[in-house]
Amino acid sequence: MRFSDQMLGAIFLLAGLALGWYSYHLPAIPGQQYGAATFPLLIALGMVVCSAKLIFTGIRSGTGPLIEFPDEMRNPRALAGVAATILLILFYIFFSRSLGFIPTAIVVSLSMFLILKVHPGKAAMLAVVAAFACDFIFRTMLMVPLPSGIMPRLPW
Amino acid sequence: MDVIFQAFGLVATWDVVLTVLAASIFGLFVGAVPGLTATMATAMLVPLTFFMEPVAAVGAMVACSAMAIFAGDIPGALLRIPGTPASAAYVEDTYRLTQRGKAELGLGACVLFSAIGGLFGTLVLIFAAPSLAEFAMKFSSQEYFWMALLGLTCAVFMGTSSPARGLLSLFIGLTIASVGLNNPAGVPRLTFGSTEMLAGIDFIPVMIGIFAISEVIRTVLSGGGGWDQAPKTVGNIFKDWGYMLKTFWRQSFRGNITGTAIGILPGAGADVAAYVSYAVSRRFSKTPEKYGEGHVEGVIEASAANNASLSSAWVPALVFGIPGDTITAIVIGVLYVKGMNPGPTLFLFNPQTIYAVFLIFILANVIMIPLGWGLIKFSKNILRISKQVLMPLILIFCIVGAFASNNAVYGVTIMLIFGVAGYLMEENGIPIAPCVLGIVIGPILEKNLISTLIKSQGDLIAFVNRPVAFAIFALFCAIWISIVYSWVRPKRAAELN
Repeated sequence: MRFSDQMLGAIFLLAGLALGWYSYHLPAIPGQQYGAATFPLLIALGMVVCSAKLIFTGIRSGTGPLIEFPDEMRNPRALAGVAATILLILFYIFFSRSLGFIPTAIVVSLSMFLILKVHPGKAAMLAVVAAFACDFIFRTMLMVPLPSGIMPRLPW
Repeated sequence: MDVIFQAFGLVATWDVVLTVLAASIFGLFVGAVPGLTATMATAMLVPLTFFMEPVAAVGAMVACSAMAIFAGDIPGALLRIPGTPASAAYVEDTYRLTQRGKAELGLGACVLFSAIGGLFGTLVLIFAAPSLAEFAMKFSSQEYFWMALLGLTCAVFMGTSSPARGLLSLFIGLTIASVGLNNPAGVPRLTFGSTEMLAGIDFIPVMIGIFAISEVIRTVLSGGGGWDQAPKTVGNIFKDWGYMLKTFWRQSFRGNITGTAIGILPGAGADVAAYVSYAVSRRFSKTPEKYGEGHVEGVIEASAANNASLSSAWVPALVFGIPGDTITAIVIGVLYVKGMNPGPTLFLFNPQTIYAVFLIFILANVIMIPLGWGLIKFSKNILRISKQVLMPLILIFCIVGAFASNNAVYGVTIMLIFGVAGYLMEENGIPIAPCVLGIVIGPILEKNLISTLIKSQGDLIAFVNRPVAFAIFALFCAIWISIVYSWVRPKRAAELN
């Protein structure tokens, strides 16, 4: 998804103005003129100037579409694949605690393999091996408290 | 001398040697897979370093990044797809050599001169860093302020075609660095009521998202796909070493110097070094017309330069805490976690650890030769693994890595947000490097800006009234003037025509 210079400039102009407005109300160090607001205000100023330059170059170079979709994005399957990837990470975020790491990781990697058209048999085997290997490396060896959820306690 | 022996003692343990070996193999693998960069390899390694001793952790990062930068040359030579951006400068030459059945000449040059470049950069690091650290002991907030600004300027203007986009990327990074309680007034800033954000945005999930998840998204969009068939066999890579060393020693030396100088500049990394030294090599060559047609001269100079810059980028990182490139930006995060806070005092209080890191640099560049040979022999098997199989595994590894950064799914959320942001940034021509350096340098810049302003009660002259501060300020101005001049000159020329 490519934004035109005007569009990109407008997004950052708004972001810069919002940052400036937010930072303006931050307090200074007691007894000083400077504080939490100084640095973000300078960033906001820089952002506004750069986005103005982008808008200016965009307008001067002529009018193209405000948002351009590359060829891959016109393919609904590819777009659905990206949406599914994001949803799968969200699925991990919301369900890993209750389901446990191994089941969630199997669901996420198996779905990813299938999205990328890997043979289902190979995908299932790889997904299971990857989930158990990650669990062994991180939970057992490196002692990262990966959630166990519905999974019974593993012997290792 | 005592310190050197202590350093030897720290390195010569099974833990450290095995970690360095494992990290090297990991770096070689990631570097050899097209599309996976050395920075991504380093970012993915970070969660594992939490559980290592300081020397093993830093050694793993050193070995992994050096190997990945070298390994990036292999798919470039065999398939014309550079494994890392730092190998892109001379990919045409090495690929043409392969097509002519001389893959061993190109790859042999890459192995040998990468190792020589890396060792040269390491020597400069060993000799320059401690004396520079002694000098840096006299630095005050003004000097650090200008050093930080100099680093950010180089990051924005080197290797980006659009300065406005480079600056916007930097401002994104600085804004991310501003989140949390860690600000001069100690008040919650840009946290929007979230308790997790009070500690700031964790750097490691950001890196994993920006470098790895964005690549997963790109692969899903393009549908994955395999690569062309790699050539079946590569001949003896050691065969032409004598000839190359005798004929092209000047090019190798010049590549080492250019790479080291660019690496020392805060903010410019291995890819810039490779491009600049390839251009320098062509400019001084007797046969510039052969460049890009399968000529080994430019390959020697540029592959020496990218590995030299990798080592010397550690000079500003260790001495000032200001990263030389995106890889050292990640390493600085690990140094803080391991209690080896970068800065001149590191050389004073912890010299044995620093010398141990230097020894690992030498070790990594020496074992690069046998491991590199092994990888070249094995490469056609690696290049047979398709992205469709790799990406889901990388995704799982990233999720666990982001989770391990603070043992909460908050890290995974940050990873997802920055994965999408990284993808959108690259799609829109907004370079990633200034944002990453902005995140690391932002807090240093703010702290020293506010300290100087408070010390001088707002008098701006205080920023330049110390000799060293003035010298760095002058260098900073010179870079800006040259940039403005390079903008104005083509326009002027166009108007005159």
